[in-house]
Amino acid sequence: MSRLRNRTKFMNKFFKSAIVGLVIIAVLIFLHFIGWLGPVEGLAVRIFSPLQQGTRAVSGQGKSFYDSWLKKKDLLAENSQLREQLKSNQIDVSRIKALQEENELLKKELGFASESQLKHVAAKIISGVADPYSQTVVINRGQHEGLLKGMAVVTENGVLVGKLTEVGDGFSKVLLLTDNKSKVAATVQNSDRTAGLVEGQFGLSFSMTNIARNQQIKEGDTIVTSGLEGQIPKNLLIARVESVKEVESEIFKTAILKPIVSFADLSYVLVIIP
Amino acid sequence: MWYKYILWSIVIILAAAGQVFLSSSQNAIMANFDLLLIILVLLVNLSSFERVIWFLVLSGVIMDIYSSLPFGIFMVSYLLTAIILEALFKNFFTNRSFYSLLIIGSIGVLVYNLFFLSFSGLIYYLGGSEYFTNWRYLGAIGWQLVNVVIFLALAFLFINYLSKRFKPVFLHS
Repeated sequence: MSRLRNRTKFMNKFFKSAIVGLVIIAVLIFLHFIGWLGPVEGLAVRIFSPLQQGTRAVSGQGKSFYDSWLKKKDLLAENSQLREQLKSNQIDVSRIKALQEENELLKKELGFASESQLKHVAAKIISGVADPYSQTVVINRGQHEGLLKGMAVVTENGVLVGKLTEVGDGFSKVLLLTDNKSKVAATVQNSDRTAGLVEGQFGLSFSMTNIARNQQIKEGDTIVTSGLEGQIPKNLLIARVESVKEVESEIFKTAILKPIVSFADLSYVLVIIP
Repeated sequence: MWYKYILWSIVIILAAAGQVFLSSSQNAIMANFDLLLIILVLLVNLSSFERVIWFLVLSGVIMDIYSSLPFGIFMVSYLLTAIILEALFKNFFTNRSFYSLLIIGSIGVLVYNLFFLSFSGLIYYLGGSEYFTNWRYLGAIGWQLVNVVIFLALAFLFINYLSKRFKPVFLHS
């Protein structure tokens, strides 16, 4: 009898605790969606920001060390091969110098941050996100800097890497182009201005889909933003076409894109304010 | 006594911050290491359910702040996992042995991922946030509520006048 009583007591306590937990969670979710939890979230991100930045830097260095260690053997073999090549080749020093001068001029012309007429806010990536399947990063700029959901995020060279999905108090979340949920309206830089949608592919890369079969697109073409999305200006560089996939039974073709920048090495970004 | 709660809260917050770092790591081994789930399983085995609830609410909030998924997915997934593990622990794996801990831990991982993927997939599929955070939609539901309640009140009064099928508790019959 006492055993049954104890069991009943436990079940009551258990259910009460579970319901209390559920109610607290429901209240927190409601407060988040009406915006009241915003200052708390901003405070939490600001408090953890130095810790997250430090661990992210250490993690990056660890990865670099590991990659270097793995590549050492390959590098030694490559090194002896290159030494042999160097002996047999004649390097045109004057031609290289001329190319260097041209390179500097082109860099100045392409210098995005200083020459572009678009307003922008510089931001630092302070953390990744908690969900392992998402390609999202957290930056240290938010509502106070005039950021809004949907704005484009680019590197200092003007290459689009993602867009803002959430803007908080002192922080924002950037959905990278490689995420499955990422979709950006884009066009090909050709005479047809071939339109399509750049979609992320499982965190590895991205492709351009919904390209009409009669539209021209080939390997090496440059993909830029189309400007059809309200917050993203047009002609922001996205990627280059690596290959084009065309299936007889499908009405659209797909272009596999090659990223111009490495998404794993991002540290500082610019948020474009239209 | 109060300092124990504060200390415990600090430990939970630091564990959650550590988990955010692990989850966002580019290393595959670290990214798949769920520190919070391990602590949850240990708490289910060693502590009261109230403490478990406190742990998962606080750590879940931190995880949801740093999440790109709709707010609340981590908290709800941890809560449902904790409920199932507590039920299993109290009814089947009651002896706190080495094997029961490992089995509960394994079940915890599977159950947690089932809930997490189900909720994130369901919300992605339904586009849930568009409905639940749109004030127009919520306002329309509010008006529906008001309209239906008023209509039912009037229907009740009318039917109660004509027959005795309703029991007019709190109303003068």
